[in-house]
Amino acid sequence: MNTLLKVEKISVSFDGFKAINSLSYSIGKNELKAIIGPNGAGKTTFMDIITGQTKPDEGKVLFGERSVWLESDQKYQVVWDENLLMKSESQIALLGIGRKFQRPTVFELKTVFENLFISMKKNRSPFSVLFQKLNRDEKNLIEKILGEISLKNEQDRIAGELSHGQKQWLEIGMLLTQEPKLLLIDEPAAGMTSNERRQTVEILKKLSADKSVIVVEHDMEFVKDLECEVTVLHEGSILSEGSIEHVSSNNEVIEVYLGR
Amino acid sequence: MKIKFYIIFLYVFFINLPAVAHHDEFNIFLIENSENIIKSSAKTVDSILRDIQSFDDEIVSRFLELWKSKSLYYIKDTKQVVIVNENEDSLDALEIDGLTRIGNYSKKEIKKIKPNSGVRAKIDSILVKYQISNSDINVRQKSIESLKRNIQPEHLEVLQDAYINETDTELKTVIDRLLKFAIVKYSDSNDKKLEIIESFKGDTAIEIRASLNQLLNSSEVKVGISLPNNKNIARVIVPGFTIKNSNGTSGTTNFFNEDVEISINDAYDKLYAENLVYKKRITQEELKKILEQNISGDTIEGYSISSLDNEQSRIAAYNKLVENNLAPPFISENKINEEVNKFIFYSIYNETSSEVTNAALNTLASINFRVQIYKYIDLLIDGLSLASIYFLGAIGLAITFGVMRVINMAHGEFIMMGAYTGYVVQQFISNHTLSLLVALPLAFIITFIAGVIMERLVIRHLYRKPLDTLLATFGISIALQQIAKNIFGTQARPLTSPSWLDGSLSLSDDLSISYIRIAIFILSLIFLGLLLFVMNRTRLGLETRAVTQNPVMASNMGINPERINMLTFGFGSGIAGIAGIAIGLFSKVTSELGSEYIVQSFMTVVVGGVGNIWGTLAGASLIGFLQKFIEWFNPSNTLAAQTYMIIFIILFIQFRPKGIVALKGRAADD
Amino acid sequence: MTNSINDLLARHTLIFTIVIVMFSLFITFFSEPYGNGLISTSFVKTLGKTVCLCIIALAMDVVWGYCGILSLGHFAFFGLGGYMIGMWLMYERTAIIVQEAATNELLPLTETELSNAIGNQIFGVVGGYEIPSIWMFADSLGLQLILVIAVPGILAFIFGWLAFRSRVTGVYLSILTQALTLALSLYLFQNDSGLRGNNGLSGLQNIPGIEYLGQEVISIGFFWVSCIFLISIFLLFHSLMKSKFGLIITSIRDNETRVRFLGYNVEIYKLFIFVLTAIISSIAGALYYPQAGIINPAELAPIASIYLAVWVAIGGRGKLYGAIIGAAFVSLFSSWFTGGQAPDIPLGIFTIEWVNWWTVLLGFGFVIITIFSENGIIGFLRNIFVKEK
Repeated sequence: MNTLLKVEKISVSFDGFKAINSLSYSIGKNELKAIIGPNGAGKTTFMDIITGQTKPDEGKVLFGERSVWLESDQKYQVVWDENLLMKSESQIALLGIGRKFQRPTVFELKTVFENLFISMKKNRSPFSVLFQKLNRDEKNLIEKILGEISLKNEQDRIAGELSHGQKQWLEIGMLLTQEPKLLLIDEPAAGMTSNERRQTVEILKKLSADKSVIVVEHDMEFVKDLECEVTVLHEGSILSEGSIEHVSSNNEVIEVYLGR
Repeated sequence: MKIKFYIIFLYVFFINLPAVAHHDEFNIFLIENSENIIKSSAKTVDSILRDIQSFDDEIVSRFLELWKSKSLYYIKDTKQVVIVNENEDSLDALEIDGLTRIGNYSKKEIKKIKPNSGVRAKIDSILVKYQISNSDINVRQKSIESLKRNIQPEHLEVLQDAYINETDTELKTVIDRLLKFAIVKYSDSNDKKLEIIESFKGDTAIEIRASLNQLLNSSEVKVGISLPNNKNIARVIVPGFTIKNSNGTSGTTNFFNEDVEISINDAYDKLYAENLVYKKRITQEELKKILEQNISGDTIEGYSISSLDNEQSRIAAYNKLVENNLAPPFISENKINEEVNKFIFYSIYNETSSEVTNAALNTLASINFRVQIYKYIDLLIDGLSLASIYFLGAIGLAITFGVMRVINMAHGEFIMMGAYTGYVVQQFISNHTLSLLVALPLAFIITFIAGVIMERLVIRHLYRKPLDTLLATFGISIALQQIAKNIFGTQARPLTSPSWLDGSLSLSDDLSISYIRIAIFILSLIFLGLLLFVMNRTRLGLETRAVTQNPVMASNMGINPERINMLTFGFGSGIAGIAGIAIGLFSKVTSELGSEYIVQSFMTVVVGGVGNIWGTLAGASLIGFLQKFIEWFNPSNTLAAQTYMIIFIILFIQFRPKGIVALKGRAADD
Repeated sequence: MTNSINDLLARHTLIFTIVIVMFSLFITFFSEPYGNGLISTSFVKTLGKTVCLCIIALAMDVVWGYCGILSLGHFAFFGLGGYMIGMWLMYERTAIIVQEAATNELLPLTETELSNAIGNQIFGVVGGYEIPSIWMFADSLGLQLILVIAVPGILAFIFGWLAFRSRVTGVYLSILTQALTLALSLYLFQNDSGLRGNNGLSGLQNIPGIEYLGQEVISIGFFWVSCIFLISIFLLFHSLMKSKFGLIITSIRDNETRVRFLGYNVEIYKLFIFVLTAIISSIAGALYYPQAGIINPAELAPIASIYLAVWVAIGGRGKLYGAIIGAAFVSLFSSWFTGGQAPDIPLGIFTIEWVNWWTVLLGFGFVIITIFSENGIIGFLRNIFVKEK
């Protein structure tokens, strides 16, 4: 399996406080992974770094591994398509990294349909946007995604009027219309009813069929339902990695979680 | 007749007394010369002053003193020179010694002798000799002062004697310096001059520079085939190219575009004036005039008038006139250049010895180096006081904008309110020191209350909408400004500083700091200390920081955020009020006083780094020093300096968007 | 659904166009040259100027109400437009006068003499006769019209590119735009700015070449051109804001970060809007100042740009007709009150003279609107309307 994203020994500090400390991490194509950790563990900062909002003091963030046959050396060599540290947020998003924020971040004054229309994968230059209209295929795609996020009947409603859970789904829907390769999802289950949580787990699992997904959570139960590899972050570095059973039996993890 | 008899009588009466004998001789001298004394002129006075010196020193100095100070009178009938005691309606005439009464006269019979300024100067220069050796130190001092203003070659000797005889050390150094100036100016000995010029090195007194510059006075533009060998050449002048430096040497035109000493055309005219060329230059105006005089119908010498709309065709038509002997020949620009280039233009020093002028140049250079350093120091002080002013203007904002993140466009009007408070208090309390002591706390209280009212009525509703706060406070700003205009009128009101703040601390001739600047600097230091203390050491400061960083948490801990916001805003506004008094002291109080500072104040806070009082200090320093620094390059244009400074700030923000003292990390993101 | 939007769009703009055209015809039929003269030429000029202010208010509304950039510098672009067209007006008119005077001379003027004479006429007040190099295109209307677009366009581009690139937003950006405005007006205040210092440019109401028409005809002409431009700009902004582009612009206002993470280059969009509105402001200024007759650096002072924001806020931001209503309402009322036409209110010992107290009323009124009705007069009216329904 090819690695899609590789983070190598990144560190970042704010006014002497080390938010991330020599952290390395990677995720393969179409893989679903979870990151858990208590408040202040550096989860959000980690996502900020991948999406380009924060530049790390040191380390590398690479995207899109490929093997290239080197004629001279008669062997394969690993190359990376992109160095994310050289890109702006919008460029990183265009490479195919979508991000869902902790608080549902949708355009509250726009309709559900308009929200999806804006995020549609299309030419994003202002001059081309001036004359963009939807064609039939694109309309169908939006309809399909509306179905997937269970908002088919709400498409003409103003997003601000939706329930908290529906907003979370709308945001995921917006990510889907972007057709990303990697999804970073920050606390998707926060504030959801148990019914909505079940539905969310289903949506996320379905997504990982053709996309890589990193879910950041601090709710152990939700992560358990995802049935994937889990990484525990603490004070900016990795405490433990493995299946949920493995990490939850780790003494240090128990101390960090229950000690608080 | 009667009077004459009287004089003879006196003469006889005193004849036996030796001391008085001189007096009598002197009286005779006066009678002989009375005509010239009464109607003295610069021409006639010389011989009197020469002859008078043979008399007794005391009498002569007394007489000259009286003459100079217009205290001499003469009796119209007899032309006798006297002094007078004024009675109610008549005058008592006395002899010069003041002891001998001549008689009582009506005011019509006696007239004042008024020597003109030229005569007085001549009297003065003789009088000095007598006064400088006077036993009274005050008289000596006075005479030295008068010498400073008007020193003549004959004083060289006087000063030398005075220097030797002088016992007062302080006065001796003054005489020493004066003597040096006299030597530099009048001495025949070049060696002496050189020695003294050398000793002037490093002394930046303006009078020394003046004396050296005087040595370096040079002639007007001279011209010849080659440079004269036997002259002390000050500079070679290239017409249309070189400029004249203040020390007599020549320089090239520079960035500030100083005028050339002589243009090529003027140089040619000079050649013509000195008969070095024989053809007169025809100016464009003259050419035009001659053409106009020769118009016949629609043409001039076959050229149609409408075609003469450019210089070439005008010259062509003119040359046709020249061919027909109707006009003097036209000298082309090339020809002018050629002629001018054949000659050499120069100027010579009035001082003939090149050794002396070189030494003067040398010394002047060393003095100017030091003066330049003083100028840098002066620039620093200028920057410092401007920085203090910006700091004062911005310090209230450092709290309301920097800490609370409230954009208060009416901040400038709080400054204005403070200044007007100072003005109003002065109308009631005439003692300026006392009124200032009353006004400072009063301004704080008034603007504090105004700030609290504004916070309660307006800002409280807009904490989540900074842009709306900006606009709402702008509304308040224009309303307050107009109200001030309606109350106090549009003309500037004075806020007079106490007399002990007038004047300045003088460090050298080029370096002095006015006390008001020092006061403002100290005041801003006090403000800085006060603010740091309040924000870091008091409960209010702690709670303010708590509320701004996490209002929910703060209110959970029992802090009432509403109360804190109100008090902090009031505090920031109150400080603006005090700053208003300080600013009002050195600039006029008008309703627009605040708005002049508001943009700069915001920039100060932004450049320094929001949320940090040290940042505001750094911002004020950067902006203050920078503006003075830019002004220094082009002192005549402060508007341009401000323009460039703002552009610099805009660029600066690009590279440090969070200011000089930046908070890092997520805490800094709003 | 898209059809209904199109219908609404068509209706909105149609109503607006009809209203403005009717208004223009109405004014024309009562004007001095084409009607019974009920409306004086000076009032036609006031209306024409107000229309130009409505245009810049539209631009301000787009940049602030739609894109969320509270620019405190757009009036500077307005002034720049006035200066650019003013240079041609003043130069050309002076040239005509100088040439007329030259017909009395025996010889025709050379180019140097002509330029010195023109320079002396224009720059005599600031002690000079040389024509500065920034006036090199002043003899050509076409080139100077290009400058009306190019100068503010380039300035806005450079400033916007720098500011947006380093992510200066919110009040910081407002303060920065204000600083830019201050710098510009201070620069123009200098005598050696090449634009006559604080004297500014004057006599702009005399349009070279068509002076024989008389002010009453020219004022109607300008009024019509201003109205047509207002309609076109309204249509342009209307369709722009209804397109996907408009959707993205308002999304940037509501949540810039989200738009960025969707892959849009937010800075380019902002820059596009900033430059576009700067250019439109400049054109509005180029239409305004020939009607005003004079422009000086005080017109570009930072306070003018804040007033512009006040108009839009009073009318109702985020709605194009809100901006127009705000600008028209405040500027017409201002000239009514400060012109001394409003009746003073005697309060026994004290009389409220509106000339002195209008600004106070405006200031406090504005504060009240900001606090109680975020959407200005439009929002206020809509609230009443919705309640009655």
